[in-house]
Amino acid sequence: MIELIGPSVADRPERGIYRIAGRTVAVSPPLDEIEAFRRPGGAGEESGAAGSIHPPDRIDRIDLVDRPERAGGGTLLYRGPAWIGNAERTVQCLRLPEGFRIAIEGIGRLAVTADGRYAALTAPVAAAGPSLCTEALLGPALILALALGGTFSVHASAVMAGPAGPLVAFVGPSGAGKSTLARLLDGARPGWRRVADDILPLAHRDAAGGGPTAFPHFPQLKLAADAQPGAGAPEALPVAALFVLGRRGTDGSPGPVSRPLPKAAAALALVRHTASARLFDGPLLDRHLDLCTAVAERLPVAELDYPWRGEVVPGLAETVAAGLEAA
Amino acid sequence: MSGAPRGGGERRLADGARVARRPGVLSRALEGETILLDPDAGTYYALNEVGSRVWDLAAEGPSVAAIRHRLLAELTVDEETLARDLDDLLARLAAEGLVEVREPVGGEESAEDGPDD
Repeated sequence: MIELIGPSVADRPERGIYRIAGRTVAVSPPLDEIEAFRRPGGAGEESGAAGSIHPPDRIDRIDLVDRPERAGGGTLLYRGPAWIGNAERTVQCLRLPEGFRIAIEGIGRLAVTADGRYAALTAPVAAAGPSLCTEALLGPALILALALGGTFSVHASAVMAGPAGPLVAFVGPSGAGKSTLARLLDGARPGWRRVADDILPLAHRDAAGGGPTAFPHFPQLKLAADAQPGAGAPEALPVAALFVLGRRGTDGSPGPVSRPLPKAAAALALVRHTASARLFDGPLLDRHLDLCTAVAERLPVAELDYPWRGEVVPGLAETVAAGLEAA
Repeated sequence: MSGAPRGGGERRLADGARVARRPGVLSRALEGETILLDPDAGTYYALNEVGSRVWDLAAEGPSVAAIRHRLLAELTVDEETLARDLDDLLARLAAEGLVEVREPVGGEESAEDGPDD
């Protein structure tokens, strides 16, 4: 289980239990933004777990990572700009023996333990409102905690092609048309449904006999709490194909163009579009590279250009369906 | 073969220079190509098949001449072209901090001017 601890936990010691990215996540205090992923009937576990892990113990563990006197120590993993809370902010990530400490300009400081089981916003700045704090907690903190547990979050939208999958993911940077594409394909064929808009957690489940697996239960913070595309979808879905969104097609282009990507280019595209990868240390990057190469080896990956117009939906659906059949 | 500049341009690396992967650089082979990830810089690269072979060989810390001789034995390529391209590749890998090149000292160069296996 992952524990996420918000800034006002002392005032509101209660917590909510959620299923996010295939993991049980306890969040103190509960957050409206992830209400869609609240564990149904989890009250019993909630009270039992609260009895076994007292909030001050969790805070103490987090504080190990966050002692001011350690500020000069550790290894600097990243210092530079990042887009958080609708603004470019300076982010600094330190790796300390106990875990990661991430300072975000205008928001505060995050601490994530080395095992990824605990993450907290420990020092919010006075001007940071609740939504910014939530975005930091459900963004870099949660994404890093999940990565430490082997699940890496990719900038991707996704459509599932039936009640049990498989899923097709569309990887790309902000502005590449991920959301638009997933919306165009939602319902384009029977059973097709958009399940991710911006962030898609992925893991490789060879041990369980499966291949690349996606976890659509993840908060898409650009969308309203009651409009989460992953809500109600299966918790885990096999991934059948990946499309990397290339340059936007011109208005005059006749339709979508899909080109298979060589394996190395496919793996690099996944590396490039993984969320919060700048916060990873060497061992975590090593595991991340394992996932990216495994996905590239196992799945067909193609580069896709398409014009953003509704009338190209049949052609798009055909292209994506062909990708599914190729899998 | 000597380490003196030849052919279409001056070579930057002496034949006896030792080439080694920089510790910490991550790599994975994929269908003959290789992707490299430099955790310190946060940068990543792809090597084609020949570049991948050079990266493989660099794991053993060979001399430039030893790499060239191994590639000459494996590839259909004229020696001058290979020498130039290898020099370019190794210089770029070194400039990006992906390999470390240790220049020869004393009589090391002549001793390394041939196949090492």
